[in-house]
Amino acid sequence: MLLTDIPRRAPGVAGRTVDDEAVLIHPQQGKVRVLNSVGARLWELADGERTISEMAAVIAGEYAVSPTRAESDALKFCTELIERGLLTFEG
Amino acid sequence: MIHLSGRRAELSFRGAQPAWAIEYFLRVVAAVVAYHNGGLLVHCAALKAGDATFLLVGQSGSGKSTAVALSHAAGKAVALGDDLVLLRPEGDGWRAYGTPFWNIETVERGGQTSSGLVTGIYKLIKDDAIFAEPMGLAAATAELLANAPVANDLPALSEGLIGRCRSIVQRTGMQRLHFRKDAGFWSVLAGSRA
Repeated sequence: MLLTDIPRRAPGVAGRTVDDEAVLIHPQQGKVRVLNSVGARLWELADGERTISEMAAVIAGEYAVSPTRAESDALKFCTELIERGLLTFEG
Repeated sequence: MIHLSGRRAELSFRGAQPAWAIEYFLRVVAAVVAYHNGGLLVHCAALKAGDATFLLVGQSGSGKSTAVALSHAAGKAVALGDDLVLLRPEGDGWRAYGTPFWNIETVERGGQTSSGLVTGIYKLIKDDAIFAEPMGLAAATAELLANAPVANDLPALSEGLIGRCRSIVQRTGMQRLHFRKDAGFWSVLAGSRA
């Protein structure tokens, strides 16, 4: 997975923001997951239009985190959620 | 096949079917009908003590039936259910109703046809100590969502289901209840309604 990849929320996965966090449900897997505040924001930004790098830039602007760290965290986050079937991506 | 508009459900099978298969069908129908009527079928135990009704959620093996048996033996509460309980909105809160769906080993089912306004929801955690700890709204919503059988398997219901679970736990709250195998956890439950 690269910073230039464009993630989007996987079809069939539903999510809602609850108190700055996000609750996701993947009905086909029968799995429920809670994302923290930053994760919830990344989930929101994964709209199929932004690259991971662009998502990270938004996070760096909104949270007290360096751009480099934001890119590293966003890449890790997207990779994990793709492995769990919660995100898909376009190269 | 479930026909909501026609208020009808059909189960077709050939030959002999085990009773559990028919019961499973009835559970599915109950869950879908409950959701479409503004309620929720929840995998939990419900204990009614006076005016207070507590829901105990947790995966299979977490201690729901044990908590029911301990409460019954100690004369602390009447169980509305130990496996599937129906929630319906009432006023500003939610009312829990007993259902016919119990764990097979449970003998005492006196509260099956009773109901009570939900006072609090607790996630059971087996422990050596007895105490409750708060849960955040998102974690509580997710926990209830995970314990909404059938409805949480249906993609068409997902968005609304998250909102309904959030609405329920916003009203009732949810805490983690650490408990051991005795009725001592009632000291925590009794404190929560004081």
